[in-house]
Amino acid sequence: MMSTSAHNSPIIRASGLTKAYHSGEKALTVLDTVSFEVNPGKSLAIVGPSGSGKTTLLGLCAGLDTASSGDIELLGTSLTPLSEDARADFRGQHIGFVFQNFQLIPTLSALENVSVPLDLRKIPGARERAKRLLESVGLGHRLNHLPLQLSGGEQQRVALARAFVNEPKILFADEPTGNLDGTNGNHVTDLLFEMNREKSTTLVLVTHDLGLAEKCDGMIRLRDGKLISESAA
Amino acid sequence: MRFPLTIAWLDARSRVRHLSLCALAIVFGVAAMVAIDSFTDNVKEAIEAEAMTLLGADLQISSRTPFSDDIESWIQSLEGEEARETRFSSMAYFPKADSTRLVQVRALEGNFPFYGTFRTEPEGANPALYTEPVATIDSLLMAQYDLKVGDTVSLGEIEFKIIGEIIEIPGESGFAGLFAPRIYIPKTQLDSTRLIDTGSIAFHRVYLKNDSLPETSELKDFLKANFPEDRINLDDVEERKEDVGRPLENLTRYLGLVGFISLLLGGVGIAGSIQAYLLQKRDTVAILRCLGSSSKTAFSIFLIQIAGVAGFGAGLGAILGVCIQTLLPRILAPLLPVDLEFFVSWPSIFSGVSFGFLIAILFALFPLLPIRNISPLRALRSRIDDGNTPRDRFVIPLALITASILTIYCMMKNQVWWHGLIFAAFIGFAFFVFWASAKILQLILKRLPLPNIYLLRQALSNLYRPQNRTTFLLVSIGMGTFLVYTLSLVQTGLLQQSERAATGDGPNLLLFDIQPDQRDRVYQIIQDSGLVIEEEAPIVTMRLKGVKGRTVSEIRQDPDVKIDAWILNREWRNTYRAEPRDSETLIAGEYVSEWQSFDQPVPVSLEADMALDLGVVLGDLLVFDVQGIPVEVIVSSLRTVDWLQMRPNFFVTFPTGVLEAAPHWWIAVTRSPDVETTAELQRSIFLDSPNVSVVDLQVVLSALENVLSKISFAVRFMALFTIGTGIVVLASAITTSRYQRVRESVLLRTLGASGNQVKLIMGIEYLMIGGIAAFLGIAIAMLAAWALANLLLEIEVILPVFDSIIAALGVALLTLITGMLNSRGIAQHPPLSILREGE
Repeated sequence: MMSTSAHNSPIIRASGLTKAYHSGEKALTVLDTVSFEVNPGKSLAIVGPSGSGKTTLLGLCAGLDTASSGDIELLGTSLTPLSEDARADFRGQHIGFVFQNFQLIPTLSALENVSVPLDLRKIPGARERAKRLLESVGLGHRLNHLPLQLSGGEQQRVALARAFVNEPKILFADEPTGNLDGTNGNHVTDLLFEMNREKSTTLVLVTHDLGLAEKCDGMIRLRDGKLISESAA
Repeated sequence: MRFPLTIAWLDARSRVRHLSLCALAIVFGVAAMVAIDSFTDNVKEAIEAEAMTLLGADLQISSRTPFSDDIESWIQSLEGEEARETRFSSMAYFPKADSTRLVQVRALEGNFPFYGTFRTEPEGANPALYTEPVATIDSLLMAQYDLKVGDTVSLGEIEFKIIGEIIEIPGESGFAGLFAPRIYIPKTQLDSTRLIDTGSIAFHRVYLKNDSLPETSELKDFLKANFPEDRINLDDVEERKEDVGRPLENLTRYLGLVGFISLLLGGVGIAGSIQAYLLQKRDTVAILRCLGSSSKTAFSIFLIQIAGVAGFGAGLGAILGVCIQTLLPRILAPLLPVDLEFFVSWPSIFSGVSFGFLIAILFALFPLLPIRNISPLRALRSRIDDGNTPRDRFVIPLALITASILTIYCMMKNQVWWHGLIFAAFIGFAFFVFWASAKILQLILKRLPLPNIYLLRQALSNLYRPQNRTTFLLVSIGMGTFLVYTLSLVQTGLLQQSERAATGDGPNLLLFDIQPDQRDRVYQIIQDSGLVIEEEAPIVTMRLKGVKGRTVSEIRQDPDVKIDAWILNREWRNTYRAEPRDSETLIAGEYVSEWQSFDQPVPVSLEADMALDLGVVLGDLLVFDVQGIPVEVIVSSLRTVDWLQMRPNFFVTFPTGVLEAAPHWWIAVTRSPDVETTAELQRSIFLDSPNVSVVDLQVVLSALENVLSKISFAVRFMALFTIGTGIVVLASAITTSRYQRVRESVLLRTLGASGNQVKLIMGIEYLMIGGIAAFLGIAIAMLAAWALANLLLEIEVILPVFDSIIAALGVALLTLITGMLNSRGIAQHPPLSILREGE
């Protein structure tokens, strides 16, 4: 059963998150008792070297995976007791995603990709909203193109439009500029923060790019699965 | 439901080619089933429409002996208009052509047929309406001997004037006169031919027209109760309808089996191609899950697509099936005594489409179920599910449901339910063998040190690496090979069954009805023609009176005794001889050569299968009525008989010294070197002993070949559907592995492997899988064909070892070619472009 806390409480609260994989009798801990909080409308960067547990932490925060121990609360709702389908429903309502490799559905056009989250929730006028968002990211002329017919930068802009189309409370981004060159990367970064401001979304992003991380309100550093530093967001 | 429907549609647009291949897998199976079932419906409808004319009367009463006075009185009591016929085989001599031929003489009187038309050319040439010696003969004879109306034909001692040719007889197919062409004469002329004598084989019939007769079953009960000694057979319209449909029933059942196998194979193909399709959809599912789609919604999207594919394939199959249905009557119509009228059988289409749809969905569910377990985390880490997906908990129940449905279907479609059960069990066994072989192969490759040659090592290790397609490829290619080759072996066996009888140096002329006083003269004529009597046997007709102390009448009325009516009713033509012949093998007891005592039961030798049918063993007693005299016999030995040999073969052989005094006639066989000698011998024997029939096996076989060629064409034509499906399955099986190969080849190319090296690695893999699947498939097919031939069809199937090896090599090569064709482009394209293709 979902419970929602007071309005001014943190929108994300991670408490003692641990993720371990078992291989026979051996256990490999990839994330070790990580705790942090993010307030509504703020942005947080998760940084650290490869294999430090950044993506694992993002996956747990977004409810894409379950923790071995600890709890994650989003908008006052604990994800731990929720079933996978309940978590999916929660994601559909409150969360947006931007992935490093864009993750557009290759068989759908740009417009169709963007309208999927709204279609899933049976929200009327999905196409019009998707079209407006695509126009706002400068892709009004590429509505009916398939992902394969778009450049990397364009694909990521479609992904941004899709992430914001259902006006999520929280946006998770995994290396959003990792697959883009400098110009395209900067363009996408600007768009990401601009839309984040406009929509008052809480942003959590994983990145290697310290320049990008410094644009965020807060930052946490991971090493070998452990939280080694934190600045509040 | 709108979202899954929309996404299913949008997502399917760009995958039309792949999804069409999925659909193609069931098209041929559904087409075959619809065609066969619709054709069967057309036949049933036609039989129903022409029901009354099939018999030409309301009731047909027949007997192998002239009717007794009691039976005559009973027939008179039935009232109504009657027509009578006596039919028997005899030699006919055509003076114009100076040739003789075995014919079936039908001496007719009365207004038969009462329903339908006795169609002749010129019209109305019905000999029953004449009293003088006239004949109406089969058009086959007219053509063969270039006869015209007004020419003559000699039967026995009488020369008949031909007044017309037969165009159509009610209830008889175009092939009816093929073995022994029909000649109708007036019944009043029968005696003067002097062809019917004591012991002659003749059938006596009375046709009755009376539409207020009691039920036939009541009449039969009356005869059984009042005249148990008279072996009278009654035939009404209902029975005739069954008789007419029966020969085609076996054929259509077999063709239906071919359709079922095509569909089953198609199911395997669907599973393969859907798996290939869904492998590429895992990222899409993960993205949808990230965006808030439940596992049920993601599952529904692809279930809808698969249902669309199945519906499309089944619909296309139904259209193709109807097209084929229009062709089948052209091939098989001559076998039918009714005129077929084409119509679309909607129930057949419905059942074919439904079953095809069901099979497609059931098989597609196997690769579809794991979709439910795809983690959304895959969108972050694309390899998250590779090789780690646990078995879905619904897989085993689904497998059980699929197996049950297939088994029930097999049991329903087979005349004997346990035949269907065995068939289904064998398919399950074959499936297990292929699955187990794949697992064993992988285990061996893992354990054994691999060769030092890099390309070979890479190819072999690919067979057991994570995400390998070895099991699926081996099972699908193996099952395809097994099913197609089993059909091929059985079919060849069926068609060769008759051909074998004609080949070799065995006798090819059979002389029967040689009376004792004609024997020396006939043999002299044979010797004068330069031929040798290869074997002869006396024939004594008798009837079975008792089995193991019970009379035949008692056995008939005992529902617990399962002895076929034909065994109890038949006229036995037995012989006496001092020892078994070459075509016989003694398997139990002692063959008694000579017997002089009538105080003790006569020791006889019984054919083994007949002993089984009668339920008797060595030492059991039987009683035969040898033309009025009861003779008790004891089973002293059991023999197997090679019925395919053109020799006088018998169920019961008596020792010498018992039956010599009984009325009997002789049968003899000889071998004629050419057509001229045969014709000359037939003519000479006819002129000396016109009652003696000389059957030319070549003529019989060419007639049989004529019939079989029609059937064989239909069978081979339908088998093409299985082969067609087999190729689609092979293509789809190999398509499933393309996904892995693209990524691996790109990596190898990136690391510096040449295009040829990549091709060689793939080639070794395909050849290895294709070779193992083919050899196993063909070995199991040989086992299945042997079992089917010996246990079910009771035919001899030659298992051609050399041909089988060639077939196995062919399948391996076909796998290699299909694999390489399917992988074309992989080794040539720049790595980056393939990586960008991604999905």
